Amino acid sequence: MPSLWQGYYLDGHTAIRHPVTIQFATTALHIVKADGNTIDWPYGKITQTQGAYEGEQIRLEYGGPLPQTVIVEDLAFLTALQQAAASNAAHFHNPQQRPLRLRLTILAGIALLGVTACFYVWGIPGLATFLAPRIPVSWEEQLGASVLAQLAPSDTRCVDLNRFPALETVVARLSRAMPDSPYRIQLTVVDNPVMNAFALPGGQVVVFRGLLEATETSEQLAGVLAHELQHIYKQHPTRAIIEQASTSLLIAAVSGDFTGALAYGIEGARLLGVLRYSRLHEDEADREGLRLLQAVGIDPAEMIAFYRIMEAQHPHEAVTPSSLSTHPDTNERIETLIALAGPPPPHPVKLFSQEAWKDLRSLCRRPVAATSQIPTDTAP
Amino acid sequence: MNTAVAMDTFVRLSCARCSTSHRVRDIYILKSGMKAACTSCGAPFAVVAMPDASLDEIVPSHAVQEIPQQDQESVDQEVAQVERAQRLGSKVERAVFHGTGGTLFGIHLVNTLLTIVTLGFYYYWAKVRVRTFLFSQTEFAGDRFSYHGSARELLNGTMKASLIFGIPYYFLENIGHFLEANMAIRVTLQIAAWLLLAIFIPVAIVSARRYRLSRTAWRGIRFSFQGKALDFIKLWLSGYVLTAATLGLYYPYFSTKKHAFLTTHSYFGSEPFKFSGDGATLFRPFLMMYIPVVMTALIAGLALYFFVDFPLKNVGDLETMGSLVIGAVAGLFIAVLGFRLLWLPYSVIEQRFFWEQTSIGSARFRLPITIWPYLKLKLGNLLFMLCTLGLAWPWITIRNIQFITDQLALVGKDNFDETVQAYDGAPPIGEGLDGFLDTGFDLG
Repeated sequence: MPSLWQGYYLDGHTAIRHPVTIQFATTALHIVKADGNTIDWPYGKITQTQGAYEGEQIRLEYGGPLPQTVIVEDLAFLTALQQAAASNAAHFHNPQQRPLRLRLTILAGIALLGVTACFYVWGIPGLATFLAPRIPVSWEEQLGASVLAQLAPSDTRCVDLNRFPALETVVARLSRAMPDSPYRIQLTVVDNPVMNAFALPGGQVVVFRGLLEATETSEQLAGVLAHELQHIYKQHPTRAIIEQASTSLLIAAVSGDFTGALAYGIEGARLLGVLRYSRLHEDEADREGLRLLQAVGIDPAEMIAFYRIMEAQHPHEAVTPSSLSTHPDTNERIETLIALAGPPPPHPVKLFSQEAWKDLRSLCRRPVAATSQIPTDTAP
Repeated sequence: MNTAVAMDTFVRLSCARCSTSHRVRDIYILKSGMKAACTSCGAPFAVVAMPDASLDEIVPSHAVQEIPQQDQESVDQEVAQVERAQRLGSKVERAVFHGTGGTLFGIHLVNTLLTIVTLGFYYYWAKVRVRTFLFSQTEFAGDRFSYHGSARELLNGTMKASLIFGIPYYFLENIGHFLEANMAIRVTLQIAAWLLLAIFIPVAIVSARRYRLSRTAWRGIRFSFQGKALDFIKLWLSGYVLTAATLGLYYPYFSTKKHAFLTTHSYFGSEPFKFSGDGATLFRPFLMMYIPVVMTALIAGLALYFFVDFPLKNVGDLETMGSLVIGAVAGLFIAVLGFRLLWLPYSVIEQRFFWEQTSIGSARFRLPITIWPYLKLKLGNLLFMLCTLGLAWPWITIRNIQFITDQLALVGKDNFDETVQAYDGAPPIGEGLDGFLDTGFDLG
């Protein structure tokens, strides 16, 4: 190994490159300029800023804030520096450790996969579980009200003063079974043929005319409402906001950037990511909704019967894998509910007679109309 | 009689009457018949003929005031000119990027792991590591760049920006939802939020540039940005208003003014960058993008308008109105798509123009990029990104950098050795609000 190294020196004041010869003294780097002037840099005070990766020159800096610099092309210089500086060389890159660094990087990649999976499976839902109950109910109510005003403007709502209060009694009956809940449930029926219902943060439940008219009995509507009410009690809409934001952050952290072309890739990953949370919420709302029905004495078979109506009118696309859907497969949901329902109650509660219900469910129409409507959207 | 001595790309003139010496930095701007006067004694100077006729055709700096040439032939000519300049002894300095996607991916893996494990805190350190790597791998005229920023500075920058802009903006934007406020108050709050954002964007652009340039060095000499944020806010706001008022037609002028401001206030050590471009040059290429986009939108809108047969008697018909709304949305969608596609060629012309109008000392930059390779690069990146759900970031970053460094050249540079350090090492901090605006922070 040579004892003299060629490089060049920058003084930090001008852009002139000074060719220099570098030698290793016992305690310092000995730099000799072309004009014979010499400079000594004690090893402990030198910083190496480049040369740790392939393709880089070796760049050593000394002093500051505008440091003097020595640049050497030959990578063997670093090995020689390690030997010369010995005990003072820990802060210089050692090229012999590059294979070790490669192994550590691969290990970091594996660890990253594990950590990302842990965050996704436990961390993010855990964060939502921790944060959601700590958000003031008044905030959720405000948010729910402002979303409701946009999604269901007041001129689209069905408010028949004779029939609407009767529908509200169904909600009241269910919510009485949860006396400790801080939420006041408010029902809105929207004049729209879509067969759907949804819950908003803070206690808003929206049912579309299409769904209401597709129910055969008041207990079937109670089944739908029990599911939506559990979304509210379990704070699913609020948790969904937290989960979506955290998933975006996690994906941005993994992919390194939010901008430009990346945004498209990230959006795809984010959607795939949050769909799983959405299906988990639906499962929970089904299970807890069924328990709520049982608590008020309604036969869960009514809820299951309505799911069958939905499945018949809006069959689950066979080509769509359930991992690409916001909702679990309806047939799977029905099977789970049947297993959970157990034997029917000996004296099931009947909320309204068949005749009374036919009138009530036509809330959005003046004359009593035919019940069948073409469904156009997803199930509750 | 005045004598002129050509030295590389600048000329030294000595006055025959008073014997004072004058230096013309850019020989390319001299043309036969140009006249001037000695600054000491007023003796007239005249360019009789160019000292070397071949130099005149090498880099016709002001001839580029014409519409930027876009076809392959003209780019080939430009490349040939650069090569000829090299043969004739005019210095042509080039950029080289040495880094590989694999190495950046390794750095990125470790960075990501540490960022997630520290719940995001490591983000700024990660940013510094990536920048240091990218700068170290970029060579210009035989020397590497170096990055001297620190994570602590980036963290401070984010804190400052959050305190002065982020928190007030978030407050103004959202407080309306939680207050039982009337419409007038909500609208006022929203306008205040937008105004704050309108000021924040130019401040952030200037601050980030000030910070980043002050932390970038080449041959140990720091770059710097000396423009005032207040001037840039004025330029930005007036440019925005004019662009909106002219339905976007002012954009090439606005864009050029922004670029000119950012460039002419940037320095390499003591040496300022210069910019000689005029937005008028970009107007025609801009129109070539603008007209098809507007026409497509109009035709799409009109076609749907006639398709739904919209006579005046149906004005109150909800379904007809609905079809019209769908038509308008479809027209808008097509226009946006067309805009995005046509923007890429315009962006090539703009980037080339901006570089070619930029000079330092007597040397001028050249970036002979063409539309098709750029289109291939960007569409390839998009596809690559979509297929890997964002994981291809390191390779895409390097593809983008190499596309530029492979073609960037600086023609006719005199000696860099004359450049001296202008930055004294102190952080760029002023006083008062103006002082804050000119602090120089970076959001990372």
